[in-house]
Amino acid sequence: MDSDLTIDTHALDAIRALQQPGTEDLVSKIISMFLEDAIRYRDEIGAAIREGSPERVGVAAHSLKSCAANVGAMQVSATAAALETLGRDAALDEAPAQFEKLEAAVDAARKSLVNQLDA
Amino acid sequence: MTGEWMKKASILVVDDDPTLRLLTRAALEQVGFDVIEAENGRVAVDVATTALPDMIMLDVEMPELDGFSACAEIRKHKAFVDTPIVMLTGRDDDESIQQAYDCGATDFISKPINWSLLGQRVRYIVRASRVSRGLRESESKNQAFVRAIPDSMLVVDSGGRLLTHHRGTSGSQMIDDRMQEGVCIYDVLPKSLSDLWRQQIVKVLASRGVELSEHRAMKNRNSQYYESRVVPYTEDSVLIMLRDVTEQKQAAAKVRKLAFYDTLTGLPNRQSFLIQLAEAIREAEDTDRRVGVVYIDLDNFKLINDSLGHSVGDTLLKDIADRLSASVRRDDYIAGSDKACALQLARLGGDEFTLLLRGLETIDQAEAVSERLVNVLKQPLECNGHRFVVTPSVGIAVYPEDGADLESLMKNADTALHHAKASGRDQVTRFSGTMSVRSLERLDIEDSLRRAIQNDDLELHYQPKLSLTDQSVTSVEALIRWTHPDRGPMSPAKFIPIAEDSGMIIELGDWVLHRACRQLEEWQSSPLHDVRIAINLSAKQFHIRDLAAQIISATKRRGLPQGLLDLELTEGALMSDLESTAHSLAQLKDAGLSIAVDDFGTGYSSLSYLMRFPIDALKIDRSFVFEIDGSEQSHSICKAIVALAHGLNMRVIAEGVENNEQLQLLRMMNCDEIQGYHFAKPMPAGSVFDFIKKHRSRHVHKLPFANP
Repeated sequence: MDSDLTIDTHALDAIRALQQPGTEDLVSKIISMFLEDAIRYRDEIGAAIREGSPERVGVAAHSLKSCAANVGAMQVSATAAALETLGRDAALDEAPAQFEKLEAAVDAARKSLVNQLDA
Repeated sequence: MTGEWMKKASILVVDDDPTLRLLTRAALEQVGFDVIEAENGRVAVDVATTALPDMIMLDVEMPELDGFSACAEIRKHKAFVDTPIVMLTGRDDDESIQQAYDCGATDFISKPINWSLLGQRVRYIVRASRVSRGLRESESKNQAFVRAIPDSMLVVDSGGRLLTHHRGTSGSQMIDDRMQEGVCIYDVLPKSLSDLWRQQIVKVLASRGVELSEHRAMKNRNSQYYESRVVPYTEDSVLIMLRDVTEQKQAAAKVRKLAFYDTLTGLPNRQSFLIQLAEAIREAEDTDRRVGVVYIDLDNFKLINDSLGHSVGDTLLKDIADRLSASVRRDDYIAGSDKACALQLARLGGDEFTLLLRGLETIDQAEAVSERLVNVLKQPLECNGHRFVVTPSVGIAVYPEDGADLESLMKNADTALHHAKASGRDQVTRFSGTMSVRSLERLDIEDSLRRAIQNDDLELHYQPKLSLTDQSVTSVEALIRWTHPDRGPMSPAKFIPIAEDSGMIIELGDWVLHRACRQLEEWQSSPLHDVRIAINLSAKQFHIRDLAAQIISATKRRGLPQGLLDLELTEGALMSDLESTAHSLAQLKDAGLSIAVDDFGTGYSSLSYLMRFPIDALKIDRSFVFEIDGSEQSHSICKAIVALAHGLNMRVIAEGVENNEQLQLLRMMNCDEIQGYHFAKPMPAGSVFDFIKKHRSRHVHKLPFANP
């Protein structure tokens, strides 16, 4: 098991346990979907912050929070949760700082997950 | 129901996150569920109503329609009243959990979802929902049963405390207002019923069986019947089902009444009579009492029915039954006071009634009771403006004297009844061993003959006589013929002596006289107007005082000329009362009747009287004619009779001539006329008419001069 703390490997193990024989590899599929979604949500959050739309920040951060949790990207999920709160509270002042954290977390998660894919 | 358990359950998964849907699908499919997906609340509502999933998992935050609103909307739908809806809430999101509850969610699962447990979790939820649905369905089915069954029900615990009750359409009268939940039923029920149920409750709680019983209650003076069934309900309570069975009881009573009672008179019928008689005999076997079987038959009742119609007949039968019942009740009361016999009436059918006397002490009692009945019945009855006097004939047989078993008692009572009828009706006759078949036959013949005379059911046949001097036929002998309704054609040799013994010969002779006169009248307007008819007179008839007057009036009434009626008498009839004979013969001669002595030579005639009587002819008895060609004696007798007759200026007629030898011998003896099968047998009026016409056409030259 990878000692990388960016990803909670228990989450991926749980997904792997759902794998039915003779079907598409579930973990790979989930990871691919996440890789795609994570970029999309991150960019949406970034744009919403820039355009000063807390609502959009909230909605996108909520989605990212939950799909990150699915693959065990706990850092991404936690940062997204914080952004979601900011969006809901319409307090975007701290948002750019959080967003930077998010971008870093997303990059780290991507790297780690791509490794998982290769593994 | 098993089918539903076996069916693969389908789960609708609603989340806008495709990853979550994918994982949920994988988790649920792994444990055998079918998965349907929807990406938001709006789609979920649509999909749910068409796919009818067994369970719905709803995310909270979704575009279009959020999870709470979707949940509320789906719940409103009739098909989803009890479908489990599980909300996917955030961890520790108390507010969402509360809200989920409020909008009708069944349960919640917090995110992030524990995938390894999700499948199991959902299985538990689905099973619990099925169990509770099954319970609810069974509850509703039970309620349907309770509603559908008319019975009223009580649920009572082992101590008799009423737990619940249901008033059905039947038997609710048994549950009065005091029957409140919590009350001890033993305190409010009549003692007999409460004792019974107490016992039954203990019994069924131990045996787990069913106890059935029937109860009677009075309501407005009418008996109501209830049936109760006590069955175990729970470990220590029972269900008592109550049903009103009054109608069934009444119907059963009606069936019993139809089977054992006569609908017209309400009296027990033959079937009950047989049962009662068998019972009475059994009873009497153990005691030294007797059983009286009394058959009562109404004389001439058929006549009333036939002439006035059945409705009058039925009314009469009812009246008669009432009279009998009243009389029997009176007797029963009197008899009851000294502990004598019990009386039971029945109607066997038609106009036949029976009375059963049970525990009879003496035979006299049976006769006394029967006599009283007869007297009661003989009182005039009024019906539809008609007044009737009905006389009964009664036959009695007594156990054990007149029969040791049911069959012989009934047969002998019937025999006694027939004797009563045959002996002129309107009487009570007890069976006796001397009532042999023969005497019964005699009585029956007598009775039937009496009726035959009344109903003109007899017939005359005519046997032509041939004159040996000119081959002409100028006279026929009338011979009576009778067909008994049951016994068939009956020889006069059999019934004439019976008629003589009973005195009925007078009426019979009278009938013959009138019938012959009628025949003569018919022939008056035909070529046979000159043919004479000879009728036979019995001794009794001959000696009735105004016989001549009767004959004269009979012939005159028909406008018959004198000299067409001949009389034939036996020697015995002539000689039985010489003085009376002389007188009668004189009168008859005056009336222009010709008189012949029948069967001459077999009786005892005083020749001196014979000489003095105005007799026209002697008929040689057939026994002499039969042997005329074989026996010298008979030959001589015939010859002597011819000589005697001619000597006394009488004609001679030979009877029973059966062949030509006999005929030739008689001719040689100068016998005047012959009669017998050789020439012609007795035949009905129409045939004799044809016979004589034909005979005359062959001997036309010898046709005698017609009477004026």
